[in-house]
Amino acid sequence: MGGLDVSPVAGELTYGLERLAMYVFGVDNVYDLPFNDPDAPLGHLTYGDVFLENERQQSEANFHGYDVAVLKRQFEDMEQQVPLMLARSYQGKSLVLPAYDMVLKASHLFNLMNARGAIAVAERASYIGRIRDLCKLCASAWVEQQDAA
Amino acid sequence: MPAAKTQEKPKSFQDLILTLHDYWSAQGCVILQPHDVEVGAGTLHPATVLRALGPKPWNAAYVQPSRRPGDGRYGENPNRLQHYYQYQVILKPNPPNMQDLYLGSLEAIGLDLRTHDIRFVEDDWENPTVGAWGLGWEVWCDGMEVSQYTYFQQVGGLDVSPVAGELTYGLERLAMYVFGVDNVYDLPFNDPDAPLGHLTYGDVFLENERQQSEANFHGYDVAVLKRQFEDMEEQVPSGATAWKSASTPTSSRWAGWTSRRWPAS
Repeated sequence: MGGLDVSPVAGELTYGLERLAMYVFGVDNVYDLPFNDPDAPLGHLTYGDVFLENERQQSEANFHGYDVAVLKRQFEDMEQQVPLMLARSYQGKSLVLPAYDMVLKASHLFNLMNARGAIAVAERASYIGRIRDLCKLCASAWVEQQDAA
Repeated sequence: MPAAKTQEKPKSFQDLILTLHDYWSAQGCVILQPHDVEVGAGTLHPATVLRALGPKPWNAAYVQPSRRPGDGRYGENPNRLQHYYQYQVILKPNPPNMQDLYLGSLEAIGLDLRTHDIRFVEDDWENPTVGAWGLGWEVWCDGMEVSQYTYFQQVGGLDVSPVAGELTYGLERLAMYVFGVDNVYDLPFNDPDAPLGHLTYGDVFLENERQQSEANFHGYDVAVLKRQFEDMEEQVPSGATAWKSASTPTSSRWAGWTSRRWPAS
């Protein structure tokens, strides 16, 4: 994790909830999933009632809506700010928790740029490397704090 | 009054949340997850601000982390946090028995209404940043505010019709009351007898409060914040179609620096 050994080993389980629910409820279309109890006293809603319009609008925004120049500048902001945040400390501990929030923002900005088709194939590896570098900085800072504690 | 589904008092902070989920789910609410963008209050989740508007019925409950940078106290104040949780319920149209439903939820989490003084203290609510206001009450339990109870009149400067009822529980404060704890960091986060080990609220969040407080007060670069504010301000009205796609949307499922993404196929 972050290029560092995980010791002791941590086990992780990830359930894809919609896919699992489709199987459990025998439904072919995610939007047909019963979101709440079909006999619910205040009315029954499907997954589509809750999220279909959101999928439509966010899809259009992801592919066509976001301004690539803004995404790129904000990515660069985060990239520049992470090491500065890590350089600050409180009670001898580098500010890794807020810095990691910034890494996550950089990662999402990259995903948006990618959805916008704004990242050339040749650039992709470089962007991923840049995010990984930020993540490694956070991971190292965090581990130092754990050792100190 | 609806019977409380869980008769036993919750054993922990997380148990209190699960009890509220059970209760409001049984009433027919959709139980949503937190919105994945930083907000200062549970009301700001689109499930409340946007869904309160329009004619369709909408009944939902969810937990929302609330980030209030100016409230950070470096983990040194026993009940003030820059990141805490609100439990939010929206009922549109507001049912005639909304107050009974609310009181039933307090019983569900273990507050015996026969032995506690519950008061509704008038306090009309307003949120200028979202152009919202409503007729409201603070709910006091033995003199301490544990919830806000509001009938939305306007959101985004528009009339709310039918009127939507909103309940906001301050989860940490409510839990401190339920568990008789004076310091938020002493709250049992999970069951003290949990097989994988017991953690307090402090075990989970104290270091985060320290670091985020320092970042909030001294860490963030003001010029960057200002520019990003202006970016958002400029982009909101541009809408979804103002910008031409640089190329055809890619079908790639690449998700960035993590090598895995759901769904995997």
